[in-house]
Amino acid sequence: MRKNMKKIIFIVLSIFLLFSVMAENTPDPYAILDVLQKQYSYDDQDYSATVTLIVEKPNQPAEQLQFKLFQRAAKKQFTMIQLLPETDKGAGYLQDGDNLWYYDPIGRKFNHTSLKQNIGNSDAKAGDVVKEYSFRDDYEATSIESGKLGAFDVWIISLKAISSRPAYAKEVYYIRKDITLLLKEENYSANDKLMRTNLYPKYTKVLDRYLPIQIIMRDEVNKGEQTQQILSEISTSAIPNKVFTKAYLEGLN
Amino acid sequence: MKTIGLAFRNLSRQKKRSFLLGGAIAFGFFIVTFVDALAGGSLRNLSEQFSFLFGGNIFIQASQKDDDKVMTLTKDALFIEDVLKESGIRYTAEGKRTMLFGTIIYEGQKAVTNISGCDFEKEKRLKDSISLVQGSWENMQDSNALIIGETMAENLGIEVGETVLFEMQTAKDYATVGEFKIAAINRDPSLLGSIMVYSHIAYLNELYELDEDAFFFYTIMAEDHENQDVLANQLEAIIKKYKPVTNRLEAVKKNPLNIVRGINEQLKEASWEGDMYSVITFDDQVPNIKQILSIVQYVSLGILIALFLVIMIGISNTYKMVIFERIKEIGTMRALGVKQKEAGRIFMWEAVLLSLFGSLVGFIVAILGMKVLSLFTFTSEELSLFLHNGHWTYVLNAGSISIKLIVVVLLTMLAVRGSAKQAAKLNPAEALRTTR
Repeated sequence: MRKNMKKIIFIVLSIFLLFSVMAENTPDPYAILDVLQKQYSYDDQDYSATVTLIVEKPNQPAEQLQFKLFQRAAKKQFTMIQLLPETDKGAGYLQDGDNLWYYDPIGRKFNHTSLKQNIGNSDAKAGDVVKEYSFRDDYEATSIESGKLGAFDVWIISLKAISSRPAYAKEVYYIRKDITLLLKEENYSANDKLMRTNLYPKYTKVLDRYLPIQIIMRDEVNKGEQTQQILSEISTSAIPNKVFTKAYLEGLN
Repeated sequence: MKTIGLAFRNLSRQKKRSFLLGGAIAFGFFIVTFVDALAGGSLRNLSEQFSFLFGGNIFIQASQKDDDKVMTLTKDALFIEDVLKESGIRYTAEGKRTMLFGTIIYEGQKAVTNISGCDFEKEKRLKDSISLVQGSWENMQDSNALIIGETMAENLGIEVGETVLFEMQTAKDYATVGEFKIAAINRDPSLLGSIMVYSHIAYLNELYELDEDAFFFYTIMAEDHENQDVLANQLEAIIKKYKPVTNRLEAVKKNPLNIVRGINEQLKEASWEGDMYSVITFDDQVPNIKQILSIVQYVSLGILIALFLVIMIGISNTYKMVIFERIKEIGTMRALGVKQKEAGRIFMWEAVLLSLFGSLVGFIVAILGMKVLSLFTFTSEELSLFLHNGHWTYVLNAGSISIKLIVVVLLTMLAVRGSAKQAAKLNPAEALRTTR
């Protein structure tokens, strides 16, 4: 009886130890996502950059779109003014709280739009540029596993959208283990179809944070189509309040 | 009565002149009647084609409110069927529809379209109206079967049996993509037909993440297409007895040019639990069609007035000559005791009779012209939106025609008024002394 008891205690302890080791090796996905979110959240100061989108489609010459982005994340405000191509110069987006408008300089009209709308003919959405979602509020982490992406050890975190803010129902993030950097992102539909793959090959350091300066967005539905998003002229200098007004966009034209 | 008789005799005495003056009036009236009737017919055809695309001309839907967000999702088809029964409204087709907007993708080619999710077993009329040029109804047994128009099939280079992707948003606004198998290709009845794409409602609901028995709206094709608004108000009144419903008349009052917006504003402002029903007509959805018709009618009235200003100069000059020709006759009549007013009235009655006969001839010629035009078949794709099976049709608006007839009579009377006054003022002795 005593012998059996010892055996049971041994098995229980072994299982407990095994789970403890596993738990130690498999961190809380939200802890990783929190670090990731801090990398590109400039809640504490203004942020501006030049965003270039290079749109590639089969049998078509590459198209270049360029915007100047001004963002004040703390107040949920951003203004994005189109610089290229010349024909669309002066068009832009303006967000103030929950309202997002697209400005058409020809008709001189502001129309309500959504962060989920693609920018022009590209695979990038306004939401990709300003990244306003919160991993904790908008997603549920359904799994985390260890893996390898090229030469890097990564955490593969699967997320399921729980609010209507994300553009896709499911996402899989490949996050570098040594430095918390997102290397790859897969966007899935609710019926598990891969719709878009984003690759993050280049980062730069801005105020001790890593910011992806090149993102390759591969359209998995329209094979052969992809958009490269390149960030340049990044600044965290204060932006005048007038930049986040309709009058500013109207005054540019 | 004697005056009218004299006026008629005067007109028939100078047949050639009366014919020319009446002909000018007839021409003016023909032009405006023709334009009006053809525009009315074209817009009715356009409206009917759109109604066909949306499955009907009256739509009933239910909306729900969650945290100030309005969602439109209808589930209680039985309730709607009971309301329709109680109303006694006669309709030729009915159905539940889920309609999704998105992009069809096939081997790098794309087509932006709406897919109508239908229940083909119940929508017999729809099934009968779809003329398949490739594939068959047996292929529709696949749950993800799709019927597309031949123009779209040609543009995308698709054949029956092939699989296409449809990129769209779900009810929660997530991007998604569905696979459809081309079951059949239908003949495009018009340019609009080329964007008619049909699938099973159950599969579309699944993609959109809706319950199988849910739908966007219940639609009926009311027989009385012209009185959609009266029928919609009638349905609204019946629904009001049992469930909350939006107020169409208030929406019309508040937003006459955009009734749907008026209804949406009511949904935004109101508070309710469960389902709030709305009844919308096809004309409410596309108010521009009615507006275009009014604009055409105003423009044609403008054309009529412009034409008649020219015709009036001719009539006025002719009657000045008529006075000179009939001067001795007027003098004799006045000498025999015909009063000043009566002498003038003869001329005015001539003007009335001339304009009435001219307008009648113009009206008859316009009808004949339209009848002849409607015999021809036009195959132009651009025109197809306005045609009925390739033929022009016309709608005569009694109100508009009456207004124009009154305008013609008044303008002709105005043109003759000067001469009539001159005839009335003639001194009988002087008139008899005048030599031509």
